[in-house]
Amino acid sequence: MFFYFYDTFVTQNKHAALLNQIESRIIELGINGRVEKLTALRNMKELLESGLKQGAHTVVVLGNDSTMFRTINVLAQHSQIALGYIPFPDPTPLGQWLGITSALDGCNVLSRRITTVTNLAKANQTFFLGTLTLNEARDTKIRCDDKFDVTCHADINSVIISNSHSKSQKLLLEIKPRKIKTAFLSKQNIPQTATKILTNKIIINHLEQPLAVLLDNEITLKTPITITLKPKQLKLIVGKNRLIR
Amino acid sequence: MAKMFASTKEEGTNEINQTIFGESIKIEGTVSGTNNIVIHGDVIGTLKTTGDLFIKDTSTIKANVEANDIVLAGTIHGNVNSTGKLHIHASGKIYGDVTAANIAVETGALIKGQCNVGPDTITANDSAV
Repeated sequence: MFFYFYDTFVTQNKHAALLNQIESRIIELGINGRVEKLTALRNMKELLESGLKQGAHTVVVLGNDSTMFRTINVLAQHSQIALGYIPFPDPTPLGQWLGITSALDGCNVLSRRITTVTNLAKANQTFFLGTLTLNEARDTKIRCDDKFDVTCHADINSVIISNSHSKSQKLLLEIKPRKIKTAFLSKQNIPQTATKILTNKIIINHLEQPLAVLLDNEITLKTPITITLKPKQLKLIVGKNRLIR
Repeated sequence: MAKMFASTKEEGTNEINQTIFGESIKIEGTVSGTNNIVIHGDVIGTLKTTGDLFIKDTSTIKANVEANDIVLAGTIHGNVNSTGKLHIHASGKIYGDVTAANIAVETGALIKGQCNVGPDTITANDSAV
């Protein structure tokens, strides 16, 4: 059974025409199923879990990237369930990464049912699909694989931890330095080298106070944070022109 | 704002073939692996890889070092063990004992310690990483 899950804004009057087109296309393609609409009074986790209990094999999100990230955190415990996406109303970065160019294209992608199983990264108890970003990294200590510590100096621009979608099945830790301007060559920047480390487990801690980190540009957590990789944790329905590996 | 997802297929993989430690970080602990490692910053502890090791002139290593080929332009305080070729640039300095199958030393480089070079020395010291 297909289980369609609408975010709150999808049913706004201004989107009625597009929603009608999508619903018609879904019926034409013969992939219709049960529909649930999120409201201020209905909890996303309970809605999704009730759909799974009733035998849903595919959950389809009608919403934006934020809706998808919240859904992923519920479905991460159900790796056998396929997750589809209809980016609504406009194309989104996540949609394009999955090879879905528009809301109506999302219906076609669902009907073709090409699936890929991908890794999820886990920061404390929260899953993320793309990146974890730390913008204020001064005096931050990063422990890799319980073996060595990386201490960041003052001239760090950002720390980015990327979920692996490659064969390496590891997290990629990137530490990007600021460009330093010298007094003598004020118009030139001294190039600094970015740090790149592949690792299985990362612990981020600050020497003095908790720092905020951002998961998938949506969810904020505070340090200390332990990040691990959960291989093959999520089954995604993807388009032919997907960028995900 | 950081880029969350790759916009090209080439960006979509983090299949990097070498570990890079930049100038703006300091590493403390045991670094071990199979990748090539390029070091621009400082390392304290132990450094082992079955791949190759490139130590740049901005780098100071306070560790025993084991790798296949080692190219040194920075400073090492500790013993160095290369199962392949050890190439020391003019700016390279080693304060410790050196064991290597092959060695190349440029004019101006510094070694303060015992030097054992030749294919036999590697098996004798059992330098498996």
